[in-house]
Amino acid sequence: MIIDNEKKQIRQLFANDQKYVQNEKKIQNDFIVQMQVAKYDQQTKDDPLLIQAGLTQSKQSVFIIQGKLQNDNNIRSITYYMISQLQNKKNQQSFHNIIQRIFHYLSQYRVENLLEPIEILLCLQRITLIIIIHGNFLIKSWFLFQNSIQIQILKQKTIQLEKVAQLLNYQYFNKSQFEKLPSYCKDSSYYQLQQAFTGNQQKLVQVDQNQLYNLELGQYELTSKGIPFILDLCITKLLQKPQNIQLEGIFRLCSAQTHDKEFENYLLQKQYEELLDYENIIVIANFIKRVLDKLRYSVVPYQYYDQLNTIHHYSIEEGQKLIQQFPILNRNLFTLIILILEQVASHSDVNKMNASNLAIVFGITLCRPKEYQQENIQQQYQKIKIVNQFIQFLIENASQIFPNQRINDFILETDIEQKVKQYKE
Amino acid sequence: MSMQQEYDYLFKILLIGNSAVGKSSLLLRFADNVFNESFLPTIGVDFKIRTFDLNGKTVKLQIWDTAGQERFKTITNSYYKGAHGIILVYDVTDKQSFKDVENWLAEVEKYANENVVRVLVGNKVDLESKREVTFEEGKELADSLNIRFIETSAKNSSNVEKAFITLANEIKAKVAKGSEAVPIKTGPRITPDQQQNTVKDTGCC
Repeated sequence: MIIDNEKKQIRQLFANDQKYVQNEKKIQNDFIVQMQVAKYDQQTKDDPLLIQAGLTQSKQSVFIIQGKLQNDNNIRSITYYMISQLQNKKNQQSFHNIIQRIFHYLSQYRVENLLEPIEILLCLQRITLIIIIHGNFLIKSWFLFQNSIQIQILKQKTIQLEKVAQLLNYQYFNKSQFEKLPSYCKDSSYYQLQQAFTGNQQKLVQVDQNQLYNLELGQYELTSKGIPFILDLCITKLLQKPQNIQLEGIFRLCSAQTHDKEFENYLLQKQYEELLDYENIIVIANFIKRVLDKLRYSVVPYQYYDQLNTIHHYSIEEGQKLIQQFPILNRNLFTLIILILEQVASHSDVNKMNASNLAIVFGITLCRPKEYQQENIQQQYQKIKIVNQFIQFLIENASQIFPNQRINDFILETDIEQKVKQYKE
Repeated sequence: MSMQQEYDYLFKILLIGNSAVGKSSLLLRFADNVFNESFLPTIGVDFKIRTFDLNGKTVKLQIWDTAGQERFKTITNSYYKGAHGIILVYDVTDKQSFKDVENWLAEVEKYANENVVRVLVGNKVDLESKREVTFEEGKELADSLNIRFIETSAKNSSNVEKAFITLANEIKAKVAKGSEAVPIKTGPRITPDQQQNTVKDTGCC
């Protein structure tokens, strides 16, 4: 994750610091687990704050946070790298305090003051700043912004940091990975964090209960594979019988609004048994599409919409690399959808939905801009077409792009009855 | 006469209706007299132009083909405003598309000009064995709205010409009372240059 010259910079900065040298050896950039969660600022609808967490080979937790902001002219990015070992509550608390303090100072543009008040802050450079905080943890950030940056937004975001970190720490590490962790990871804070996580999750689930749309991915009730449960259910249903995805015009045809409502009600009232016999595949297919359309943030994070337009030639590798950058929840769902579209396209002689048609129907469902610029409408279509071409490329090459991934890896169980039963328990 | 005045009337027509009812196919048949089996959905909005003679007057139709996909509605509805005529299309083999005409009418009500001329078109009559909507049902709906009704087949070309010309005639009759040439006042700005560029790869994209 940390590129070589960045590592070199850190090394130089800490050359005289024995403690760091020891740490640095431990904190290798080759995570054995890597994951990302997108946390967004709801009010400002700003670009995602991406948070990655992982384990190094020496089983230290590593967190990487990236925030991306936009101003009128351009996208300027702010990248935070946080490398930390959040072993105990105290570390987390002080880490949290430091982050807050940094933003407090930054908000007043008195960056030079950072050096003194925070003693563990070792180095600071101007403009393209590198801030490295080092104690039991490191924070490294590049500020590629000038003038009018919306520091306040970041400040708000970081307040949630601690909770997010807790969530991360426990939601996506496998149990088996936990068991392999060194003992220090299983100290009392383990339980505290676990409780905190459970609390957070309950809160999140509560939000969802009367809402199927306009949510963030993380607000859905998720399966252990990190897929929104309701989508998982619908996809399972689609794959239940081969003739389902052979339906002519699947994902293209409209469904009756009354049927849509009926279906939504089953989901809202958690009458999942009804779904067992639900045979209106067009309704289900449209529901999947609608959920994706109405996600608060596009499955493909906004910044890639414009980025895609700069790519002229796609390769398998590039595709993989790009998808790898998505936050984990987005990546999982995206991969799953592409894999399903591949299956649908394989029946295009019957359902008429080949990769190109599917890409047109799904392109902006999966990858849309933050907002459409009405005045440049023809240009916008041009962009949409490019996005569609990319999606088409992925569908056509899905088996190479995701060589080790099968639909069933993302779906809990292939048997919908079991799934419903399991849910009821 | 200026370079652009090669026509007496310029009408902007909008094709709307559920996905896969054959909007693009109707346009392709009318503008290029071809039929394409490829089942290609439309992205956002496309347009084609056809100029023809209508009772001694040259009428230029600028026909906008919209995506039926719900997802595109937010983009497509900005095209309603400048339209002189709207063709509401359903698929006679798809009951749902007929039922949804009501929803499309609501969109027209919401976004289009008050005096826009509407026409109801039931497409795909070549698939008689799969028919789910009778001629009478279509006619009844059209009558209740006091608009014209035509059943077409883009595939075998039946009545397609008639549908567009009927609409053009009605618009002409309406505007003849007012000013002669009808400029496009609203809607997305398209310069002649852009038009040429866009037209060549439209229809389905």
